[in-house]
Amino acid sequence: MNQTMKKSMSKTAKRPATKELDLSQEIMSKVKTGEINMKPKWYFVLGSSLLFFAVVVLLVLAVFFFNLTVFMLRHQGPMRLWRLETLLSQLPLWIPILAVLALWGGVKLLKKYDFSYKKNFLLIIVGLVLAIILAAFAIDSLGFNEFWARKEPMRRFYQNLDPSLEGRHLRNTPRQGSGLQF
Amino acid sequence: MSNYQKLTDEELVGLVRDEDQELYRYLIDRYQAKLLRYAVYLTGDDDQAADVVQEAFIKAFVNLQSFNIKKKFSSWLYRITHNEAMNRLNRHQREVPILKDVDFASDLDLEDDFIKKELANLAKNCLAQMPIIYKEVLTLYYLEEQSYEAISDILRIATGTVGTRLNRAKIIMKKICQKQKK
Repeated sequence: MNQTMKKSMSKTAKRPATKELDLSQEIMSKVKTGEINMKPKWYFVLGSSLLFFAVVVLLVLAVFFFNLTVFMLRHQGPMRLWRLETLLSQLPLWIPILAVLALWGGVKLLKKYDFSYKKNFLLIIVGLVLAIILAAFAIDSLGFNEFWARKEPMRRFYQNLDPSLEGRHLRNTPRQGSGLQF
Repeated sequence: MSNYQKLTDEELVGLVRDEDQELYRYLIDRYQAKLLRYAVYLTGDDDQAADVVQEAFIKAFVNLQSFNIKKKFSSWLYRITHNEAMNRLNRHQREVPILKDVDFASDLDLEDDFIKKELANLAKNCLAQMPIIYKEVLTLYYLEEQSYEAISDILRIATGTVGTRLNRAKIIMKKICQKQKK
């Protein structure tokens, strides 16, 4: 009896479940009868496209809601920032909550990509959060909020947010000497 | 038949997807024993392990079109098996996995050496007592002989984390084994 046979016999004796099991027979019969079917390629293409789309939408929403938070805080005047009570009573809290939720959702979905574990994900998140906050400030500084508050269909949204916006003259340039002229 | 056996896993996957689903049998034959051994280490139960591996092969077949041929098929398959085993373990969380009739290193002829056998038994018992996150890295690295890169892909953790867990696992294993000796 050669060495290989000896080995295989000892394995059979020790691990009957492993040796006796013939998964290929069982699985291939299911494949043949159509009990299990391969999902088509378009299904996965659609899935990854939807995932990418959802990440983009969530991150855009996060930027938008952070921008809206910045706008509302600025809109209330600089002194309001120091009065927490007034701030909390007048700032619609759902805006920052939605901003955080969109960001959280975006990060959760980003984790599905391979780079999330191949690269330093914490650093990626920190960079992403900073980029979103910077983008939010940039959008507000460039005067996009004032522009949207005057144009349909966003005008209604901004008026619902703060009815006082309607009668108020919104400046074109939020920061002196900078911003877009619409 | 021999022609197919010479093909790499990834080439075989391409053929299964585009030409002949019957060839999936070869992939099952290549990985059945390895995956069963890995699943047994994770679940600690032969029957559960068999179910896990069967389910993993079925899931792999169903989702074969989502596999990226540029990547390693074995890592992908181990990942599916790992997920399946984890799902089962979570379902039966209160059941403590106990390794019963498992070879510690099936390629070694342990019967010839009583001391080796004793050591293997001791190591087996120590491994069974280890927390799952350390057990899985130890098993993949030492028993399944996977590379850091492959383990990173299977467990979806950074390669640095693989090294850290491996080091901690060795320390924990040493402590458990020393305790057992006493």
